[in-house]
Amino acid sequence: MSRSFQFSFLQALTFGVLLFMALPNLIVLAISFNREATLAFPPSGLSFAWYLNVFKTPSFAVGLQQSVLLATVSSAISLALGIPAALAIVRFRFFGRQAVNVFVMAPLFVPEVVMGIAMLLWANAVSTISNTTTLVILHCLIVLPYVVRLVVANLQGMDPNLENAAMLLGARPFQAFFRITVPLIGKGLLGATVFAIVMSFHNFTATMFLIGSRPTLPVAAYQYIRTENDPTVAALSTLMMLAGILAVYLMERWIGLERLVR
Amino acid sequence: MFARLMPYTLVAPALLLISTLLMGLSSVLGWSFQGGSGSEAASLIQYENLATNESYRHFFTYSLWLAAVSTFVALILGFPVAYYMEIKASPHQRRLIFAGLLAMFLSDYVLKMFGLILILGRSGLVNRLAMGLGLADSPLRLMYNEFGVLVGLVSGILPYMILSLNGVIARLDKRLQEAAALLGAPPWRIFLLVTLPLCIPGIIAGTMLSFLLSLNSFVTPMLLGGGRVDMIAVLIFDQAINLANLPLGSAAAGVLFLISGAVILLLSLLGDRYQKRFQR
Repeated sequence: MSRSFQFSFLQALTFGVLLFMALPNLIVLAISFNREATLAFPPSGLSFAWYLNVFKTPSFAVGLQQSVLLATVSSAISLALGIPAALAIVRFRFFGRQAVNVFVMAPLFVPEVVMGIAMLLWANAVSTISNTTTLVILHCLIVLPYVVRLVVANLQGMDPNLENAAMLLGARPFQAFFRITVPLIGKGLLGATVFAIVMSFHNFTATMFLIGSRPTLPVAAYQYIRTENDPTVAALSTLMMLAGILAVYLMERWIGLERLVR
Repeated sequence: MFARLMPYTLVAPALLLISTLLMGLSSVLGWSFQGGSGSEAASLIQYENLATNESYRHFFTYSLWLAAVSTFVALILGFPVAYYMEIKASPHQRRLIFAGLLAMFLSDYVLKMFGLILILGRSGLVNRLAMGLGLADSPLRLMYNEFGVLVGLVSGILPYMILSLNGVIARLDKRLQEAAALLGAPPWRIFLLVTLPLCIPGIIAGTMLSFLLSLNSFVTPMLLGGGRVDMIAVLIFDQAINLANLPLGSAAAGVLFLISGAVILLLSLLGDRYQKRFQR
């Protein structure tokens, strides 16, 4: 009797906390179909007008463009820089290896606001650099530690003798990398790419310091929330949630969710 | 020769990228030592200003307080979830909760705070329910104050806390609990004396992550606090961007960086000490 009570109490508590976490998303979903131009709950009727309005709002169009640009360019650069760095860290023993390891992870230890103001001052000092270029650098800094960590984990899980065997049989290092290593850790690389894109796409605080005339999508949403009072942002959120669910699905398939967080 | 240089060639581009951040951080430091009114000499006047001005100081003490409270609440709420999903849930349930957590972890923070506005606002879900059930005559004030910000912070850090705790609970050696049960310990004693101590590394990791995330939070005080709740990130943004006072903004950023560093150092030392004691 007492055991089953304990069990159901724990279950109820878990359910409550999970509901608390999911509720904001559920409410947004409900409000996005509201017929009236208010954010009041419950919705008064069914309408898809706000979804159309998302595409008619100019700042969202600009924001989407800017966010997609930042996410693709910065994750591509981070992969290009992060994969070689991870290879060096896992496959080589060299003087300063530990220091490099710490150095590459450094952005994780810098608070986002501090990172934002630091890159703002850096851009002011360089002076000839455009806003978007600084944002690309900022997003690369934010994403790089995660890329290196994920690639390092994948390389450690792979047998280095396979590369050695290829090279013994006459493959040059680059050949061994592209024909043996990449196919073996391919799914891990795909997972790291999706993760990098998501991290860049959602970054807000540090990005806010470097926004010029072209907001990113989260910044455009933030500005809309602060000035307008209709369900357009709710419709936008629902669309982004769908994209998020897709990202989670892809990562589950490619790297497995548990490996990502442990 | 080539082989010896190889690793350095591989890491060089990444290090070059990181060096831009170091340059930026050193400019923050440089700006923070500037005096007012165009004087060239380095001075500590900005730091002095932060330390002596009551209203600036409040941003720091209040942020630390909010971070501590939200972390504690997240720990209390997160532990049962992490415990349930690892120990009691069926594999299917477990995967479902895990996917939900990750979706939460990856969902947009700004939009999550927007969802909370829809729940806590004047005509939001809670007020509609409370007034509909006759529990309140007029709308309750649930946001643009401390309460709203705390709810936002807790909901922001819960996924991180649960995932950190889940990591240690998954590695628990169940035989230790079984041994305690065989020796006659009641369930609550097993939990307090066996399970909980084994979870301390995860508790420390989750606490560190959550505390830092709350301490540095910007979106929550802006949207759920209406910009009226004093948190450090708001101060830094206001000074650096809205008031164009880069020296003071930089000094505040410098102090925040120091506090974060101290928190990381302190909690990692605590974790190490605990681990050592445990191995003996």
